[in-house]
Amino acid sequence: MIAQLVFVGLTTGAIYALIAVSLNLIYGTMRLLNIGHGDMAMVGAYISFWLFTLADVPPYVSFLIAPAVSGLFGLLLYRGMFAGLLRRVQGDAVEGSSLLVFFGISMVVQNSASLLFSGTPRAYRYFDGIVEFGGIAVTESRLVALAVAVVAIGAVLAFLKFSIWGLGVRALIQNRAASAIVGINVDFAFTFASVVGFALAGLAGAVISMYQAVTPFMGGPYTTVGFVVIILGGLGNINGAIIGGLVVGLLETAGIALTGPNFRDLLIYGVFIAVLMLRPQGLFGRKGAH
Amino acid sequence: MTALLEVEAVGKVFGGLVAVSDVSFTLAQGEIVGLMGANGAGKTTLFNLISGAMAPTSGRVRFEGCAIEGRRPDEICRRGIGRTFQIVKPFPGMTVAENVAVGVLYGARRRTPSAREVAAETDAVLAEMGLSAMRDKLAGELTLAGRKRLEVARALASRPKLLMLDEVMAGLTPIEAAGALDMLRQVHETRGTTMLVVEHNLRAMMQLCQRIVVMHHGEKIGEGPPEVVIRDEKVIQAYLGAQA
Amino acid sequence: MKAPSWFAGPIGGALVVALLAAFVVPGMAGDYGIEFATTLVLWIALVQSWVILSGYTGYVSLGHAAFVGAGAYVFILTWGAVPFWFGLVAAGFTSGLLALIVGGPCLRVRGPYFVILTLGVAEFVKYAVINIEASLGKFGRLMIGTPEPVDIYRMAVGLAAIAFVMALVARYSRFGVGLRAIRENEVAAEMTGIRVRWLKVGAFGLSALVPGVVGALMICRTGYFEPLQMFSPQLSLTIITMCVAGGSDNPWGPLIGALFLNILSELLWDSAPELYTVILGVVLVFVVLRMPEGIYGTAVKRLARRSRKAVPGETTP
Ligand SMILES: Nc1ncnc2c1ncn2[C@@H]1O[C@H](COP(=O)(O)OP(=O)(O)O)[C@@H](O)[C@H]1O
Ligand SMILES: [Mg+2]
Repeated sequence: MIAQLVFVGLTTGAIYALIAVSLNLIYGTMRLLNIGHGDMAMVGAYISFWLFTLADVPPYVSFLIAPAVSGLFGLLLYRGMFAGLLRRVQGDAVEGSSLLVFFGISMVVQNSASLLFSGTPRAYRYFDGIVEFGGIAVTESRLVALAVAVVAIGAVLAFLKFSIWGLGVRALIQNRAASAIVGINVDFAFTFASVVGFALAGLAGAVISMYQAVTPFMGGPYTTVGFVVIILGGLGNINGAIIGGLVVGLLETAGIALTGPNFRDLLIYGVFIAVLMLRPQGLFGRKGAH
Repeated sequence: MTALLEVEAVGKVFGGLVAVSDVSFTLAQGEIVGLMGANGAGKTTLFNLISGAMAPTSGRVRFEGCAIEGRRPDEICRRGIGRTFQIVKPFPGMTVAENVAVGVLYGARRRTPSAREVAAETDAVLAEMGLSAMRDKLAGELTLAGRKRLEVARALASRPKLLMLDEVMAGLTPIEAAGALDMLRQVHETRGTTMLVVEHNLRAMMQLCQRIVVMHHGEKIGEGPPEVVIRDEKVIQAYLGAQA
Repeated sequence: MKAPSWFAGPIGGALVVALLAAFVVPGMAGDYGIEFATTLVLWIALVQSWVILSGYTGYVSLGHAAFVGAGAYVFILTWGAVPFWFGLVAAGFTSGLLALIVGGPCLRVRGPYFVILTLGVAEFVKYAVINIEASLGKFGRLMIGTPEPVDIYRMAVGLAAIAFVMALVARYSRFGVGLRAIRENEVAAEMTGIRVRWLKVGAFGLSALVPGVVGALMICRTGYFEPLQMFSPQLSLTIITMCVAGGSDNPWGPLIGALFLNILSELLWDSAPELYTVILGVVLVFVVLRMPEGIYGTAVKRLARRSRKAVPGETTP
């Protein structure tokens, strides 16, 4: 029973971590608050759904197509809007402005999807067999979700850790002003964060579509959870986002098991508020000098 | 001669770094005292401790006989300590006149001034600081010299008994710096405000200050009349050492 | 700084407009017109209350829905037990009190942390109410005997007038100068003698009074209370959009923003609600990127520049 709960918690948490890592990549580098992040997942989910339903494309192929599309979207947004915004605006104003811009984008994306596909929830069946091992029973789709999340996050971490460009991105997350001076290509890092950040959100959506109904407004809760997680882990802290995602996933699963689904949101927001008030720098962040 | 400000064995530690260590000195009413020391000596931190931006790790700060260390900055301001910032912090989206009006409205006063008093006093301070022509410009649009001047004006508008100036001449052209120096002397002459001045410009300090306190690595290493202090072996050593 | 007598003009104007709106409009408009006008006026009340904290201090709150919802909840809990007016006032003060309670800790964090925290607190309050209601076995409550639409409309007009005057006085008083100084540089504001904590929490409390009453009036219109609807984060986001579109450094900008978006909504909502929201999004993106001071702020700047050019010989330093 406990093992079962932990496992379910980990699969949920892994997807949260995937969403939070990508959200944090965008925030950490560019200081953009993407409250449309969940909507990118929604786009990925629709891509996966339609490809499967109309063209019999299996979801694991969509795991490549969905991120390609959403990554391209990120690239276009960065080139078309945020590159200019980041050149013009600095400091706190970036965060405020980006929040509003993404809110606008989110309204456009959600309601365009609603215009195109209607609000009807849509779902398909794939990987829906049940796997049992060590007293744990899970659906295949959950296992696949866990595996995809682990691989994707691992790839990002490896890139950040072992490649020279990744080093640049990490330095940028640490200190923007200093990075530009020591010759780090800020534009590359921003482009990277936009493309990869959006692509991972699309990937998460494609994965989620295997076990959750797809609707135009499914992204909202994922955005919220994403923010809860990155606040827990520390804004801009990539490793913190991974741990935070797992913590929230476990917490949510345990909360539902112990108290019933009604209290899930109360619990998540309660913990979130408590952390933000007691440790605004996040559970794993260090207090910065001001 | 009564002491206006008494700094008693004040210390501040950041994590493991001792930024200010066991510093003591006093300021008498009406004095202008210089605070010198190489970059990183702890001068700005000392300002932060006195103005309430940070609480000291140890020691006391008395103003007019009252212990003020660890109190809120706004309270300390209303008691009569005004300051400027080394890294200037004007209210960039407000006009020059509005910046000064904030000081008039919220500074050291027994009661809230009427609208007419605010306008009159704002004009007076703007004129005193030579900012009248720029009164309707946004503070964010001023040059560095203008912003530094505005910071002094805003601090003065709060009617401080003690004015602490953190490198108000740094980064200015020699002509601008000379202008700033004249302005400070003028303020001292007309208002008699006590001042604690951080500045690297030795010539200006010699002209302006009656006494100089020198800090090095967080500690006070010298104090006395300017012409004596600059000949002090320890002081010379500290400056040369820091530059080498 | 403006002399207090300066307030007489706009306050008198607001009173005249409010009286006209309250007693002339109902005669001219049909039921549909009154519903539209009520919606518009309630939005005006909401945006005016929001700028007091978020416009003037720059602490952008995503939590306004919590105050609307809390007011509505208190109103429906006291419905029938206390006189109508008392219920309205209680709704306002409950929200104000809620803001004072959560304001202290919330306002210790700034920037994006504050934005997200207010969203989190609002959601927390929402789910708390949902859980309380669920444990009582209630999934929505009905009210019987609510006032006529015209009367609700008149109350809404009165409320909007109050909200406008509050936003106006808060902007151009000593209090408002302090709030704006906090927005411009909080550290410097504190060092200039401003009791930053008091002002922020005070502004938060003030800005929560009106939405509490709006919540009460909103459920009077429908006769129905449902937490998911009353605590909707969408409501908070729409308020922000209106304020940003108009400009949020003064009461005029949000007024224009609310007018603009309500008319847009009126033109599009029935035929194509999604299209309306898409356009809303495009407007928001456009305003933030191209005219960050909003419609009003940008217009004022343009006019000022033109009038400056029109006077030959005048030099600007
Ligand atoms: N908020 C802070 N956190 C950590 N260290 C600090 C902080 N402020 C200053 N310091 C450190 O304290 C020392 C003294 O700094 P400062 O007072 O700014 O020196 P000065 O103004 O004399 O140049 C420096 O080593 C600086 O890095
Ligand atoms: Mg310094």
